[in-house]
Amino acid sequence: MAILALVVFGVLIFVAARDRWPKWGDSSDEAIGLGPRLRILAYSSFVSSWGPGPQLVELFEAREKVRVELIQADDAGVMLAKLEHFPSDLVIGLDQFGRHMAEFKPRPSQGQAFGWREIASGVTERVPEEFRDPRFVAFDWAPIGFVYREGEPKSIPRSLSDLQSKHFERALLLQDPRSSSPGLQFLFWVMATFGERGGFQYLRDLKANVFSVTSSWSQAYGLFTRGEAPLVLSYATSPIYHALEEKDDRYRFAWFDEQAAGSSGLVPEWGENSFHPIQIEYAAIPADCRACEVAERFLMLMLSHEGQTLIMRHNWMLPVRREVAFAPGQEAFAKTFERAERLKTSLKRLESWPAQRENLLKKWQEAEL
Amino acid sequence: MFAGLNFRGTSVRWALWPIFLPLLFVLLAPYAMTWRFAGGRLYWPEGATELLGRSLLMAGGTAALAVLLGLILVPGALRAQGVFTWALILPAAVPALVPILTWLDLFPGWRGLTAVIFVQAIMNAGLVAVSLARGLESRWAGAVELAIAEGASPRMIWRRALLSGLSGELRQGFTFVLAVALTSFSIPLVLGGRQAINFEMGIYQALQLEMNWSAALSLSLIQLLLLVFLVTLLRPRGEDQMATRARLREHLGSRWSLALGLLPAAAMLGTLLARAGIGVAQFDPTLWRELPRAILASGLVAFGTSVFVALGLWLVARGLPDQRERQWLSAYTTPSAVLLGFATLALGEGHGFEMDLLRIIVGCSLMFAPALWRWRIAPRLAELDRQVEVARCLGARDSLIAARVVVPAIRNDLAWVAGLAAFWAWGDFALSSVVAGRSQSLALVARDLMQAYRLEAAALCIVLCLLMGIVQAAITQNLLRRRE
Repeated sequence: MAILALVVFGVLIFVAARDRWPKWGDSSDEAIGLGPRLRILAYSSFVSSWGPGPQLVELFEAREKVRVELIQADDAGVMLAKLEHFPSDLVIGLDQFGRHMAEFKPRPSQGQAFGWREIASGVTERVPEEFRDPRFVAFDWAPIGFVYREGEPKSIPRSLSDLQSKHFERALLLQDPRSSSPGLQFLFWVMATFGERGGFQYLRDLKANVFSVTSSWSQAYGLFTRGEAPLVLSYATSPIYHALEEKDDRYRFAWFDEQAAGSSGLVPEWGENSFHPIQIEYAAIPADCRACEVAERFLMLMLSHEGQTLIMRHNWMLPVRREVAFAPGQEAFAKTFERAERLKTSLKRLESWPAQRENLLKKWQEAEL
Repeated sequence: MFAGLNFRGTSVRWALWPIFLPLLFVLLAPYAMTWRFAGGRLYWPEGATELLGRSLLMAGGTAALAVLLGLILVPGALRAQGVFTWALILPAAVPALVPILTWLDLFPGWRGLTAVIFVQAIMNAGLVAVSLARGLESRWAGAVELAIAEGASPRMIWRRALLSGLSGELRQGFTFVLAVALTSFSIPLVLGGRQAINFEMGIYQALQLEMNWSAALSLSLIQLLLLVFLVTLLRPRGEDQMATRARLREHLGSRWSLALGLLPAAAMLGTLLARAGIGVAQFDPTLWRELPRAILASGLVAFGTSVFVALGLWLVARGLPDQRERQWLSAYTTPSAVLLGFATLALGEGHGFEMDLLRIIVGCSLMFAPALWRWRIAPRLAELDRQVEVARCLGARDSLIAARVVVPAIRNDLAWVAGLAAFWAWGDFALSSVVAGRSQSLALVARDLMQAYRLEAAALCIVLCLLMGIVQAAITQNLLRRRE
C-alpha cells in the first residue's frame, strides 16, 4: 500500500512537472517549419531564465523558422568536454582562458586540439577591431576590479598598492583563482603589475587585508551585499545592476590608476597607464558543425543592436558595439563604457596570460595564500 | 557482488547472480564511461603522492575529531526524539555551502587545514552520535538497565562498559567520516588552502585547469583503492550481538549534550534565515514562473533518487552479502560529481525533460547510495549475521531468510536511507549542473539566481530546498517504514 502511494505520488509529480517544462527550444518541426536544427552549447548564466539565451532563441526561432536546442554547460572545462559528447553548432561563453583551452588543449579522447571554423567576415566585421578574431567572436566584455558601497570603505583604493593600506584591514573579498574566473584575472593583474616574484610578495603582504577568499564570484558577492566586507572583486558593470534593478545608487566601481600608486614599497612594472584586467566573452563555431551557416546567423543576431541590448541587460556586461551602450535609455552603461574604453589599450598585455595559467596556479597553491 | 568468492551455500548464491551482475555493472559503469574520455590511459599523476598524504591527514583528522565529538553527543542523541534526531543529523545532510557560509560568518579569518577538519567534524558529529546511540539501544540496553538496577552510576557505565562495548560502532563511524572527508570537495576548496587538498580537488584541477581526463580518472581510481585499503584495515571485528531493545533515554540521556548537538543545526539555520530575510524582495515574475516547475522537478528527482536508492540497497540486502562482501561494498565510492555526471551522459542522447531527469536521478542515486549503505544498511546487516547463520543451520533457504528475516529487519533502515536520499537530492547541484541541459531543479535555479546578482532570492531558494527536502524525506520515511 505504501509503495503504491509512493508510485502514485511520483506519477503525479511527473505529470505536473512535464506539463510545466519550458517550451522555448522545444518547438516541433511542424510548428516552425522544417529548417535545420541549431544546437547551441552555452554557459549556465546565458541559458538561465535570467540570462539572454531564452529571449535570443525565441527571437531567432520566430525570425528564421529554425529550431534551436539550447544546452547549458558549466565553465569552459566542462563545456568543452560536453562538446565532445553533444556535438554542437555554436559554443557560447568562453572567456580568454576558456578560449585558450579551446584553441590549444587536446580533445579528451583524441589528443589533438578542437577545430574551430573561420567565421564569415560579415559577422566578424560587426566586432570592433581590438576584439576581432576570425574564429572567436567577442560578444560582451567588462573590466574587473573592486566594487564598494559609497561611504563604507574608509577610503577609496586607486591602485593595487593602495589595497595594502591599513585602511583596508580585513576589507577585501577575493575569489580563488583555481575555481573563479575573476579570481584568476586578479592573480594575473597582480602578476602583470608587480612581476611574478613581486606579485607573490604583494599577495603575502595583502593577506591581513583579505576578509575571505571564496570559491566563486557569487559567494564573495553575497558576503559583500550582506555587508560583511566593504570591497569585493567584481565587474565594473556590477553597480549598474543595483542602480537599474534595485534602484540603489550606492554601489561604485573603484577605477584604478597605477600612476597614483600608493604606499607600497613594490614598484609596479606596468604602471604607465590606468590598468584593469578585462573579461571578454566569446562565441565560436566548431569545425565539425552541421548547421554552420545557421550558427553564423545566430551570431549576427547576438551582434545586432537588439541582441547586444539583450545581452547587456541580462548578462550585465558591456556590449562590444559602442552604439548599443550609448543608445537612449542606457546612460548607466554609457558612463561605464566610456571609462572602460580607455582600458582597451591594455588588451595587448592580456594576450599572454592564458598560456601562463597552469604555471601560476601551481605557484598560487604552493604559496599558501 | 563478488559472489564467486563465497563458498558457503555456493549453489544458492549462484542463483543470486542476476542481482549481483547488474549491481557490478552499475558500480563499475561510471569508471568505464570515464575511461572513454581518458582514452584508456592510466598513470600515477604528478603530485599524487602529496595528495595521498594530505588526503589522509585531512580525512584522518576529521574522522578522529568527529568520533570524539560524537561520543560527547551520545547522551544528547539518546535524549533526542523525532525532529531533534533529524536536527542532529541535519549538518551532515545539508549541501556543503550551508556549513561553509555559517563558518565564514562565525570565524571569517579561520581557514586552512584545522578549519576544514573542524567544519567537517562538526558536520558529522551528530550523525556519528545518532549511530552510536542506536547501537547502544539495540545492543546494550538490557545490560545497562540491569547495571542501573544494581546501583551502577551512569558515569561508571560509560567508563567501564560502553566505550569498549561500542568499539564496533566507533570503528564504523570513523570509517564513515573518513570516506566522507576523503571525497569532500567544496569545504577544502573554500576553507583549505594548500594544506587541505585531497583527491577530489586534484580531480577538479586536472579537469578544470588541464582538461586531463586521464589524470582525473587515475586519481579517482587511486582514491577508490585507498578507500578499499582503509575500509579493509578498519573493518569491524566479530562482536557479540546482544539483540535487546529498550530506551536508554531516562538512564543515560542528557539535555545538555542534546543542546550542544543542536548548536550546529541552529547556527546553520540562523545563517540561512538571515540571508533569506530580504530574498522575497528579489522575487520577480520570472522567478514566480520558474518556482512551481523547479519545485516539481526537484520533487521528482528526489522521489526517483529515493526509490532507486531504496530499491538498490534492498536488492543488495536480499543477496545476503557476507562480511567480506559488505566490506567491499563499504569501500566503494563513485567518482567525483563531474566524472559521474559525464558517465550518466552515456545513458542516452539529447537533453529532453525525461532524459535529463533520468540522468540526474541515476547520478544522484549512484552518488548517495554508497554513503547510505556505509552509514545504515551495512551495520544493520552485520547485526543480523547471527540470525542468518542460525536460520541457515536450521536449513532455511537464502531466499526465505532474505524475505522473512533480513528484509523486515532492515525495512525501517531502508525508509531512513530513502528519506535521506530524497533530502540530499533536493540540494544537489554539483552533479545536476554537469548533467542537465537546462536548470530544472530548485537548486539549479538557486545557482542561476546567484549568477544573476539575485543572491538573497537564491538564499531563499536554498532555504526552500532544505524545507521541501525535509518534508519529502519525512513523507518518504513515513510511507516506507514498518508500522510496529
